Amino acid sequence: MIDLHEGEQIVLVKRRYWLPIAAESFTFLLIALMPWGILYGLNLLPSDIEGFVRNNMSAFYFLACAWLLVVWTSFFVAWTNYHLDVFIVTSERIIDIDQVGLFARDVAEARLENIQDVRIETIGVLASIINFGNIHIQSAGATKEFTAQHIHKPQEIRGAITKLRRAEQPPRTPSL
Amino acid sequence: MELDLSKPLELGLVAVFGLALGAFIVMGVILNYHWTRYETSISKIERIRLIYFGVGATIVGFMTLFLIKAIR
Repeated sequence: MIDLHEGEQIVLVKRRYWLPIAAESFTFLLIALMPWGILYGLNLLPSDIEGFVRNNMSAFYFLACAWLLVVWTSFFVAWTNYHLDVFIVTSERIIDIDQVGLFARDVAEARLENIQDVRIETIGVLASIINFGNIHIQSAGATKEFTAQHIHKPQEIRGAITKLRRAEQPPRTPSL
Repeated sequence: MELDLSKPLELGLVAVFGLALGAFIVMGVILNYHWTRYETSISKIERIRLIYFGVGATIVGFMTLFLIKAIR
């Protein structure tokens, strides 16, 4: 779990858009089905190989299951990399976690009062239609710029930051 | 049932079983560490664990059945 300060609450959690991981999942599905494809096209193989496989069907199914287990594990590694790559807005700060790989992780954070500028970038027809894009946040802290890519509805992050910052500021008294 | 490891096919199948099971368990431990350490929702962690280990254990179960059948 992410360590939160006392009284701090998670306001918004944003991940990369699901379309790339869906495409990757479909690829994993095709790879997983390969042994059954071989089985389907068994009669296309040379007769001695076909005969060997037909005489050892249990061994073939065993290897197909082993293949499935490897693909299943690989899929979960890819999914974990996607799922843990996350942009979090809390009541006190923003946290940008880049899950580069299983053993490579980049975590940056900035307090809300240090945020100077929020910029949203939408490039391309597909991004405009589906409403996803990149968000760039300028900070006065140690990490100067935060970039979260391929975020669905990035304006929600900007909205949450604006709302939290307004809530932080004391109400203005009208000058006489 | 008699396991004869002198037969190359049987030896190969047992080796594949050991490697696949070992990789599944080791990766499961690593992934579980990541989910526990970095996931924001506890209920989601439990669901992810259930799916990964549940489906994985089912596949291992089928592997065991086919392995027994193959080396008979």
